[in-house]
Amino acid sequence: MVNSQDKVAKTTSIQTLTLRRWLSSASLLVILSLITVFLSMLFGSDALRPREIISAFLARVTGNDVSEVTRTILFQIRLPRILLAAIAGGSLAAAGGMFQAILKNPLADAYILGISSGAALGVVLSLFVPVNLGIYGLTPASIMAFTGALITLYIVYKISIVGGKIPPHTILLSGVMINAIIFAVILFLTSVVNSSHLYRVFFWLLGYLSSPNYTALATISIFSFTGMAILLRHSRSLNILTLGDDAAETLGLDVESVKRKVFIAGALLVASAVAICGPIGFVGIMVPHAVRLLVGYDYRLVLPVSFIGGGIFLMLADTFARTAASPVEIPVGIITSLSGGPFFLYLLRKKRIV
Amino acid sequence: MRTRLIISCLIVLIIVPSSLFAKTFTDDIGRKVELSKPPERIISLAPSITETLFYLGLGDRVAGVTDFCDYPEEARKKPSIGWIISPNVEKIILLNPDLVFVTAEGNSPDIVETLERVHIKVYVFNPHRIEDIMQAIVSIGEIAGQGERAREQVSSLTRRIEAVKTKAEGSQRVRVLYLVSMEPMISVGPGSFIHDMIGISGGENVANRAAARYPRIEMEEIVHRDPEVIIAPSEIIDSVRSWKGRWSGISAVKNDRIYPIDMDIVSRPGPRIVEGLERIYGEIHGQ
Amino acid sequence: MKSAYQLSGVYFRYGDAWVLQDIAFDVTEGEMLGIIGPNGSGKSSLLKLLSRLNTPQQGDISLRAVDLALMDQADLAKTAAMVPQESTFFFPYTVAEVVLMGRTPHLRGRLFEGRHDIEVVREVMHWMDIAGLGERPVTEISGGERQRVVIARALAQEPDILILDEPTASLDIAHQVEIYHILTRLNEERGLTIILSSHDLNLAAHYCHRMILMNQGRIYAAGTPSEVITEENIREVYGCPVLVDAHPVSGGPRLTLLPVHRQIMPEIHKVS
Repeated sequence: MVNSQDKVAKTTSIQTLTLRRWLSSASLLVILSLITVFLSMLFGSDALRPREIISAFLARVTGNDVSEVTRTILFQIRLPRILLAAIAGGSLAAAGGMFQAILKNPLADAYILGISSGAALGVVLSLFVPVNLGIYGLTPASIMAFTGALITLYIVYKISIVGGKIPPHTILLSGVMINAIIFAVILFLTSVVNSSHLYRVFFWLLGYLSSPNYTALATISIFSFTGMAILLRHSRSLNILTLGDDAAETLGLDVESVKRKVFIAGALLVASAVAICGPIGFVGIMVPHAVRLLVGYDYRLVLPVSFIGGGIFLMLADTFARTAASPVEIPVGIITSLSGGPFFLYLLRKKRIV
Repeated sequence: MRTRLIISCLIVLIIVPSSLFAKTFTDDIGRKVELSKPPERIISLAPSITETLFYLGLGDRVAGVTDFCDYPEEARKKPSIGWIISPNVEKIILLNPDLVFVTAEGNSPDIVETLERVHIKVYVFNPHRIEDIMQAIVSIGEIAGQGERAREQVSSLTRRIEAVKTKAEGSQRVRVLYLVSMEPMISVGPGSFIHDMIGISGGENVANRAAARYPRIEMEEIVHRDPEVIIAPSEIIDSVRSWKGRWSGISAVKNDRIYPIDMDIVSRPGPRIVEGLERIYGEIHGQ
Repeated sequence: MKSAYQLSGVYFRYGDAWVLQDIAFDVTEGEMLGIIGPNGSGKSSLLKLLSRLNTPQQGDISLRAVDLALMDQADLAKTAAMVPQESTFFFPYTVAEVVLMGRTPHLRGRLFEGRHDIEVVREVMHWMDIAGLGERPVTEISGGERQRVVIARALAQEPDILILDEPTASLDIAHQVEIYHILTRLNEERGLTIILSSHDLNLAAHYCHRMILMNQGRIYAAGTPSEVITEENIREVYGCPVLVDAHPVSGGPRLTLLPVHRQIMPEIHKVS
């Protein structure tokens, strides 16, 4: 068994992820993200030239006079929307990646457990609520979408527990079932609601980004970053979980506790994204797959890279959505779905779907 | 002494007119909108409001419209700010409006918050009945400083409405089905303008027991209520006419009283609603 | 001689029917114990109880005099490691990544493995002769290699006890022998207590110190291989006639299957 290649074997290097590598990857990505934010700021209504925008940024340093209009557009309209895209896209991508591991299903996305239908129900119900009842910068629609998403995940979780454990197949089926039930309820409600409001709900279902106020952005960010922190904390455990619940247990992992925490994190991430933007499709399913092609399967890398990558992807998609048919703003959900489909086929052909 | 008096008079004469125009209006959802003078650059985020602005002769004050503002012809030439449901806020800002008109029905509530955030004044309309539409036209006129003219135009519109009402009185109620769409089949219920117009024209809306303003309706209900007249938008009229073979039991189908109508004049809460009312009256009473 | 495991009065079921009844035995530290029995006799369930993947409805199991049910999960993983019958890998982690996963109980919540962890893994991979496979995706190696990887992962937990559920089930004979050879070395050179279940009665009998024969959820026989592997026991439990004689090399029991063929039958009866 132990052959004469003793010396060679002893010096075999084992590549492993270290904190230093993690930090350097993370910093690189953050820089990439900031560059994307800046580049996205350059695009929008045709009237603003890149040169004007650059001088607007520099104005903070050089003290040059920049027109009020330019400043308003850039920092009140464009920047919050771009930041929303970064956070929502990242949240959906990270959550989708997590669900793919937990449910051991490569087709899992952020909405697989019926979260988006719960949010949709919240939005439909919010039509019966007066508009003035918002808090923390969020409209009633956003608040009820957020609540609907969380309640749905809780229900799905509760009905899937079998003897204290959550078998992946059970929760998947529960999610599908709840999804169907909620949509039936939504259909019923739509029959008693004014149809023009319905158009708004259907439009919301496409997923689109509108410029939020900074308070709403901050609120959403808190939920999103909390969820992300929890996910990162358990990113190594996610690797272990893909070995199967039994193997993970014998390796010393408290499987159900990890699953619970990670579900909560996922709920926070998805609910915060869906509450403001509606269920933007494909980010949650595509970005993790693309990220794995780049960095491998270690979730300690897949999660943060998916978060940043999802943000970059959605920022770019939204920039395109804003400018392609200007002044018409295409709902970004259409762009992501259109790009997602061909990409998915490409992955299938390359047989890189795990 | 006299110079001081003249100066004081001049000051008063200058300040008072401007303060006369500095008004606070309350919009349909209770928001207070303060204007120091009548708006010169107005953006409309709904086709009905665009039509109203041009109707009141304020077309040259229109700085921006939606992609769907297609009436009158001049409106199409105005700068567009995108779709009703997702207006391009950057474009709105660049057009530098004094006031933006919005509807609670068609527009998304976020737009109000976003525009307020960038200090653009917004006025929200939310008409439910035909009287509200008339009031809205007057309000737009008053805001623009053309209150008198608006009231005159609206009273001629109101006279036409009254005329229809009078003609319809006394004659027997005609059972009317208005179809908004075919798949799924949607009709109009109480609370919608079309339902009101059918009533004013002497018709009885067969969907008048519905809970929603635009309820779904089943064939069974239609057959049971047996409308004498069916009115539908021109786009779907052929599908309705194809009921000829199968549903000849329905009076309207049997007697070939299926009429198309331009959807815009019955669904847009603007001045042309009166034209819509007259058309409906005509179709109900076979004129 | 210290006890690794002590079981008494253990009853276990999944649904309505008892899968294990009145199980009582000890596992001595440092021994190699083979659990045999037909399909459905409860072998896998018993091993799952030992690794605490399931809990018995009745009875006590103690691991080194500590109630198994009360043990801390990470401590348990550092004491006893399990090698399952089949390992499916959802993601194509590299062999090194898989073996590194065995360090989980030692990381105590840390996200990144340290130098000591890497050292342990390197040593284990070297020992299991998979050092050269480090960068290969675990989904692209042969069955025999994969089994060694999974054992290496278990060894990376630095356990004192190794539990294996039919470790040679899907391997060819060369690899079967190889695995048993590795297990013996682990037992003799590193002092690991080995508990395994097997369908291959001959190999198990050859290598194990003691054996337990299960039948319909109960212990039918326990003792040395010679004591357990008898023609009566096998015929009674498995329901098929066998011939048991002495292995020409080891001296232990050698089991030969007797094909049930009408023409040979009279011959069998003549021989026995």
